[in-house]
Amino acid sequence: MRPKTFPATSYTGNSRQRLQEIREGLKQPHKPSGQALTVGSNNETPQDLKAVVAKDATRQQQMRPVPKFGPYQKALREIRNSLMPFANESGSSTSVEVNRQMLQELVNAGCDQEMAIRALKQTGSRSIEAALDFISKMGYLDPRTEQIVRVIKQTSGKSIGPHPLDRRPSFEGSNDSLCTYHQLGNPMYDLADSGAANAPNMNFLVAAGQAITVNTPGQRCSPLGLHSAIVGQNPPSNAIFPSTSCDIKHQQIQYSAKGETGQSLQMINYTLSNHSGQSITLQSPQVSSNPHYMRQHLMAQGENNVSLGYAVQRSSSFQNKVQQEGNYGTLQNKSPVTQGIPGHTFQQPPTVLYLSQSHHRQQSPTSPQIQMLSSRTSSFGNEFSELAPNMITPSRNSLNVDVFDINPSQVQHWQVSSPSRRDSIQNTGLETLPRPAGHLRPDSQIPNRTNSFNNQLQTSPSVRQIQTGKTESSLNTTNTITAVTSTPILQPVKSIRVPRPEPQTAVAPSHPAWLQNQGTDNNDILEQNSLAAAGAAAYVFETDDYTMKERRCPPPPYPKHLLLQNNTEQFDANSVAMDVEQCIRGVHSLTCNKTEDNNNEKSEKSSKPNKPEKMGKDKKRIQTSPVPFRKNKDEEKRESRIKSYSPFAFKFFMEQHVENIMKTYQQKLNRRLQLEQEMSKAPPSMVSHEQRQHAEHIFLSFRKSKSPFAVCKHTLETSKVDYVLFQAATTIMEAVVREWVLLEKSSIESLRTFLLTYVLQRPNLQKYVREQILLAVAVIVKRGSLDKTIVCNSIFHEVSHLISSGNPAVQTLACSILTALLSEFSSSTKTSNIGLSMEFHGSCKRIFQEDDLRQIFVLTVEVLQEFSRRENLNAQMSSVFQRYLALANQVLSWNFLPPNLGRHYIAMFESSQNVMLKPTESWRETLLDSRVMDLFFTVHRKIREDSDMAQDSLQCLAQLASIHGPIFPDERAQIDYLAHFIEGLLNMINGIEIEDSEAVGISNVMSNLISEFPRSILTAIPSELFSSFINCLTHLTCSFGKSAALEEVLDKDDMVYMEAYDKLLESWLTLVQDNKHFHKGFFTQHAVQVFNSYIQCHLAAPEGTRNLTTNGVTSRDEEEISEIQEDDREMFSDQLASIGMLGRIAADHCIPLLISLLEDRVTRLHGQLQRQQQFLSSPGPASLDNKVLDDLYEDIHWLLLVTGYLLADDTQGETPLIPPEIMEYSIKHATEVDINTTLQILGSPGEKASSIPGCNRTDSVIRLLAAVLRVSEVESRATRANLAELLSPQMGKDIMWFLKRWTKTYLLVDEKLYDQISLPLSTAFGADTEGAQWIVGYLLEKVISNLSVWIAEQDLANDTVQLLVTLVERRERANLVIKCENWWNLAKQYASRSPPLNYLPSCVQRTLMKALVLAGFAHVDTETKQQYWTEVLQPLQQRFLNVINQENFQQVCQEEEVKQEIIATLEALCGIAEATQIDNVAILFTFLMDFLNNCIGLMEIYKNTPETVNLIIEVFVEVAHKQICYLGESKAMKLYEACLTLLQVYSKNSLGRKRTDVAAEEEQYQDLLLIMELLTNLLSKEFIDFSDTDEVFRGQEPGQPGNRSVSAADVVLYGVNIVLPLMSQDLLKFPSLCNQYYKLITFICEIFPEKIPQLPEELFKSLMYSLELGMTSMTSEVSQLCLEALTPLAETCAKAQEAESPLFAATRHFLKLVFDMLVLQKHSAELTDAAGEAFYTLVCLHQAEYSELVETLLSSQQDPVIYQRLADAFNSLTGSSTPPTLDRKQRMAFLKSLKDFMANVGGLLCVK
Amino acid sequence: MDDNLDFTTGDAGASATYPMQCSALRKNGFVILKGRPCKIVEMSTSKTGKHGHAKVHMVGIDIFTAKKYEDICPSTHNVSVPRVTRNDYQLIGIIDGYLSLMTDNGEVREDLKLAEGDLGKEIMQRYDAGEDIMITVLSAMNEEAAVGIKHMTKQ
Repeated sequence: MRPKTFPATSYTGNSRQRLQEIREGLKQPHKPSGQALTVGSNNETPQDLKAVVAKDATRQQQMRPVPKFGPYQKALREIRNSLMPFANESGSSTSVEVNRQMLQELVNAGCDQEMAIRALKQTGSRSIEAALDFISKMGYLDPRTEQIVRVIKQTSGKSIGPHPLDRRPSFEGSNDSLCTYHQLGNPMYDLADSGAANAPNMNFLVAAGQAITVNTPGQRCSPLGLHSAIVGQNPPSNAIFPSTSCDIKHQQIQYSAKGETGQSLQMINYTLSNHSGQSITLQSPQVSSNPHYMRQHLMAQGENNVSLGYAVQRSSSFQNKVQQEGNYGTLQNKSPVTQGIPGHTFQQPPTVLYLSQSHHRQQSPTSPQIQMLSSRTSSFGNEFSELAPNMITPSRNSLNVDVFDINPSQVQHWQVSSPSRRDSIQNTGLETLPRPAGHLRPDSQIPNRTNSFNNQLQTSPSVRQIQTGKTESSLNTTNTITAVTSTPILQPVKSIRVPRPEPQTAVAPSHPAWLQNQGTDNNDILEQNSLAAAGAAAYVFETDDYTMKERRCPPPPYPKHLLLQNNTEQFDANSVAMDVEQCIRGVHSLTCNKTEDNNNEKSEKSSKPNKPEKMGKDKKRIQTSPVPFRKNKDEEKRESRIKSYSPFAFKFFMEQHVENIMKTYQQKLNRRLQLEQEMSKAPPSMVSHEQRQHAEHIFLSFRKSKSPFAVCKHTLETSKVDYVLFQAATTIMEAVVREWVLLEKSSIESLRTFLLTYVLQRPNLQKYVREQILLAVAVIVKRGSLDKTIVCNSIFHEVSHLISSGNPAVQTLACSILTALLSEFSSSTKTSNIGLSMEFHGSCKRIFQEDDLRQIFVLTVEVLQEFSRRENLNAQMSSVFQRYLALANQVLSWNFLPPNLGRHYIAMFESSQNVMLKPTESWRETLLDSRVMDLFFTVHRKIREDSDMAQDSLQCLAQLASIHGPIFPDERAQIDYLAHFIEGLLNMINGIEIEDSEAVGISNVMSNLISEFPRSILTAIPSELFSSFINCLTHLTCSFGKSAALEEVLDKDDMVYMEAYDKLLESWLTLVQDNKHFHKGFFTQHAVQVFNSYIQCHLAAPEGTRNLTTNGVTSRDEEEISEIQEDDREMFSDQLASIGMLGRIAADHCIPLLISLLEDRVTRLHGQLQRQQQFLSSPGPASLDNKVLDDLYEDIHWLLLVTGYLLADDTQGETPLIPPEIMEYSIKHATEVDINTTLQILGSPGEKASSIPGCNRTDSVIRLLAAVLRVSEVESRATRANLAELLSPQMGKDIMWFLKRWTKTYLLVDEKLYDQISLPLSTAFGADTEGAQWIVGYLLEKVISNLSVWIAEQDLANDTVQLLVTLVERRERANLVIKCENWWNLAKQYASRSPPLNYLPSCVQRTLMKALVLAGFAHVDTETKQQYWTEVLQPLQQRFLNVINQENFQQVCQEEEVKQEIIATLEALCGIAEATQIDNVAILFTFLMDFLNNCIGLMEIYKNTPETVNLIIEVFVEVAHKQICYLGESKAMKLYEACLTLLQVYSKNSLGRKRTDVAAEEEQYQDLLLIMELLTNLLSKEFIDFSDTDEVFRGQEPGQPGNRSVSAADVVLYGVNIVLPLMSQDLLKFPSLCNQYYKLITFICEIFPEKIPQLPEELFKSLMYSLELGMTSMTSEVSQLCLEALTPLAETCAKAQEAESPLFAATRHFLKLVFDMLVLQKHSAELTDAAGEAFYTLVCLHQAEYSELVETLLSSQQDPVIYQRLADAFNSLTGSSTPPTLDRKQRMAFLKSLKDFMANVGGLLCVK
Repeated sequence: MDDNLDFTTGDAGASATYPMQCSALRKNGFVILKGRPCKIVEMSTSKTGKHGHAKVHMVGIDIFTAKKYEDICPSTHNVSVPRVTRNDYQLIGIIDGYLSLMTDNGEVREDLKLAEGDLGKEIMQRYDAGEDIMITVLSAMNEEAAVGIKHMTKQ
């Protein structure tokens, strides 16, 4: 029975004859022309060569003339000719002496073709048996081969035995079979068609296939019939619908077709059972799934790929035969026929579409290995899928091809593949010959119209050239390429049985029932020609009615009559999809054309006809998607836009009578295929930027297209390019949210089911595609959760089913679903942009976290429980385990959103990094259940050896340890929880050796416990438990510390222990700083332990363990350390601070310890240096080992650091105090201290401390300092003995650093600051004490010594001058300093600029000058000041004047000495400016002013020396920065004048300067930066001014305030005139320039808003543009500045009342900008105030425009609720009756209501 | 200045180079690297081991040939620094590939070759166009070369 839709056949002969004719016709040889080998033929492998041989053999065979069917041949030739333009066939024939029939038989029997050829050759083609014998002998390579041969031999009684009888005769004799075929096929056709059209549900398809399988063997036992049925299933053109299960079946049918009816039934049964598994795993390897062939093909000596290829190829051969028959018999019917059998339709594995090349390769026997590619689908349910895993990797290469990122090799793939593909297609006609070798004929033009047509369409034009010409070679190449990418698979295919998934749990709940019903259902469905969706209830399968009627009828209004409408709409949708594709393809074919010239034309020819074809002849209704389509005008337009095809193409197609609907549809698919091919082949180099943009644009516009669901679904089902799948999923996701309100809820539900099912059925999807699809599901769920349409529960139900399946793969998927849900609901950053308000996101999250999240957690815990009970987990299981563990971690790390948190806070909240677990009350039962906690402890114990999983489980524990908040009903619960947790933790830790990977996790757990649980709770747990917890903490800290030290020695990249150690030390800090809950000394013992272990780790052997690796070997590093590396004191500051703190806690132990260690090291250092000195002075070649010294230095280095951190805190900006613990310690021991001895010890750094009598009765704190001074003294003496070479600059730095830190805190202690003060300390370091004076003198001496010795060590010199500055920065100390003779020496030395001070690095010199100035003005005594003046400042001035006033200065100015002198002076000036304080500003300013004026002259002279110019500007900057705020009006004016002159000179000089270097570094713009800084500093006078009374200058100022010649505004505006043109957008990319620039223009706008409108037009414009730019596209800091600038501008404008001014217009523009920013965009909270201010002023200015904006915004709201809310909000914001004015009160009110406004509707309009 | 004055040269008796402590060098300054006068374009310091002394790593560009030189030396060492002078001369003619330059005091020198490369071309171009230009001439270690062009500024 043939369906009505079948066009009447024009051929009257019987089918058999027809078949024969076609077959013969195809045998007609085709003359191949020259080969053009473009693809890497040099990669050929021997195997490939053999394949070529085989192919050639086939060709010869084909060349046998068949005179019988003359007319047909003629027709065929014609067709061929018509195809010629598309194919430059070429090739040469070689002959191989192999009996072709035998070969074919062998191959049919399952032998590897190449093996068969070899066997035949070897046996001289005597007989099949001989060949088989040979093969079995050759089979030694694989022991299984023999078995296979045996099988073949056995079966040969059936299939091979009667060998003269090959398939052909049987086919020819099988009218029956054709009949069967028709009967079967026709009804199936509809089914297939509907499925094909847009088969939405795999399950359905599967079922359909199943039905056939059942029917076919049962009713028609004739093997031939089965064959034909099979054949019908497999035309390449149809090979688009992925349904592997059918594939399997199909091949099994083939098997049964061999005449083993009994077996066939059996097989079918098997299939059915297997089938269920398949429906889940879906994409089982199409190739390997044929059991029959597989078995036979084991002969292939491990070349499974070959055999696999054979299997498929063979089926394709059959299919072709039938196709032909169809074509000839019923010309119109061709496609329907081929499509007719659903099994076929779906049979083609997914690869076919997704990866065209692999598909085609697979059909070509000569490209055996390529099939590896095609079988990317690893299969879970498939018995024969063992290959798959191996294949996955290679196949990815081709599959993963991103549209744009393709490496060149992939192009090759592509090019190669297509020929092979074409091959298979072309060969389809030849397959009447029972030899698969027939396929090999690459260049035979197929007279088969369907195929040829398809061929034209399918084959990408660019490829055709190659493909036609040199298929053989390219085939070889194909092989080669594959061989490269794929691993040879040697294991037997059949041996592994992968656990079969249970589909019933994997699919939606409705599925199981459905699966059973399917068989019967199908028959009905088929007869009715319509299918109601069987699988997913929501899926509607539309009856396919192939008439024009429906096409014409106008689309009824959506969404009524979905069923009828869907077709049209679907069709439209498809055509849209096609258009999109064509578009994209266009882009890609462009690229193709570049490489292969000829292709262009061809591509046009081939692609053009498609459109009319589709348009004109496609009457078919493509089956519907569950989501209704709304016809939209755009689509119609697009349809009509399609060009008419060229006459040639028209003729061609007419001749071919290709007007079949199905085929049209196929063409679409083919085009899609082509598109994807092209997309995947375009390498980055071939895609121009424009093309890329175009392609991007297409994808983007595709995403925006309306109701793309059907298209997307279609794409999902058919496409094989992952990127396309990804895009489709994205599009669905976006569209569903966009059109949510318009969609039927049931459609959404079914869409969700579809997506879920889709993923479930395709376990082999690329991860990112799968995640994206699941994301879409999650988004749907999330969106649905708002209006309660879609409840999570249903999903959870499904998921729990999946989980209970016990199948790891399915469980993994379930986990993915949950993860997607979790991340979609979790936080605003991870959430996808779905165009919904932040408020929505927030409320979704709240809803979710209350219930659904808990459900997820419960599910997860259940799974974990299950896993933790199991004994042995295999790899797969444990990976699932891991995923669930990670999921649990994700849940526990959930950032619980407290109720009623504003939008801004949400953003802030979400951004916090370390989330502590603060669940809501509803979680109480779930989380406080101690079994949960125990579970995680158990889990960790179980998996702790696996570092990845251990991290997750420990993170879970850490989260559980951080639990706090409302979940605890009372303190008791918290105490119980904590106690239980600590118990569990101790149980877990005790007795195990902690793995590296655990360290960080465990320290996190500890640290969370300590930081999150209140002290009161900590102390409330049983004291024994608590103390063992603290003991454990101590133990861990010590051992982590040791391991951390070891890590350092080994120089590991990943310092896990260091991290863990830091964390624990931090916890200690938290613990010990609390003195309320723990009694004094509670932690002392622990502190001692930790401190000791730290010291031990940092000392060299024998006391310490530094640099000792585990095996006791010491390592020394002599490597280069660059200056960039941070000093230890910075790098380990946190650690050291903690250790210092612990040291203070245990001061009784630690301070004496440090003293003894330091004194010991000093003695040793002294001795060692003496030995070195003797050694150096004594004659002798050898040198002493430096190791001893280095060890000593390193010891001292660490001891100094620890001592420094212990004795003093690092204070910034506050007065440093002696730590109370230290003070207490000193006081405690004061009674037993002999002060005199103490002072003696302190005052004799040159002597050994222990040599002083009574040294045991000294104050330890002082003695510790004395110990450091001893180190310093040893160093000083060594330098005096010229041993500086031996000294360590590092140690010198440490000493300076320590002394500076100490000086700040201890020197001249202010007794008023302390409750009680230790007598020894105040005696030794108090004000007016000898000790203090002595120390100052000693330090000064040290400084001077250092400055002369360590000139070349910049860091050390810097530390030294920093100590000097510290000494003089407080007046009390400075007064002591200037009493020293040394000080004056230093000053003189510096002033005379004599060596060595003048060699100091410039920054050191500057600081030194600063120190000198600070000290000089410290004393009130005028005499001292005068002395200072004459000794320090005057010489400087004198020298400078001498230099610049010399007559020939112009000539000598470039001389090095002069330049050095000038630069030194300028540096000194900077230093002087830096030293400005309010009490010295008067003198300093006058002093500096003289220089400034001279400097301007220098600007001119040194204009070619940018360094000098910059330095000059810097002097101005410093002066302005430090002094202007103190300057009185007249002084300030002087400065302004000077600056103005400077700017003038600068502008003159920089005018001609070109800054052409685009890639210029920031420092090249230093001058610009400095100028801007200068201007900003000048402006700062306007709001920071300490000079209002001019007190400072009283007496010296004549004071003519009215006579203002220059104002700051003049200077600044002049400066802006210079700077603005120089600033370009590029320069704004430099952060420093950008910030400075905006700071400047904001200042200007704020301070001189009235000057802005007076700016020249160009300047004004660029200023406004700068503001806009800064507001919109810079950092929030910059946009805040810009907003702040707007307010004064608008105010000025309002005052000026000039409606026509450009500023007025500009402010209008800014109103909109600010409005958008405030209302519509996400902006950081701190901007709201600035923006509000600006907004209000702007609103005042432009009230009408504001109303307009509000109106526009309101009118764009469709949702009445939102509209109302917005309108109300605006009303309350600005709805008051009085018009807004610039009145302050009103403004404040506005700002207040703006906050409410933002809280109310801000989240509403701000979308993500 | 130097005790042994050299009367044969006209330049204030200074030698072509003078020593400087390595640590005092700075970027954009001059130094002699491998015997060539160089402008320092990169300077970094390092030390061998934690307690080692600083070493200075310099990268310089030959001021005449633009070749790149590198050197590393202890920061306490003295290195030679070339005395580099820069003079602007008015270009009054180009004869046989040699520049005719006039100094401020009216002396004419014709011993400088027209620079090769872009600079030479530009000089030629501008000269042909009749522009009044100044040529910046750098001299160091008895070597001289034109390195830049300037517009004549009105004096």
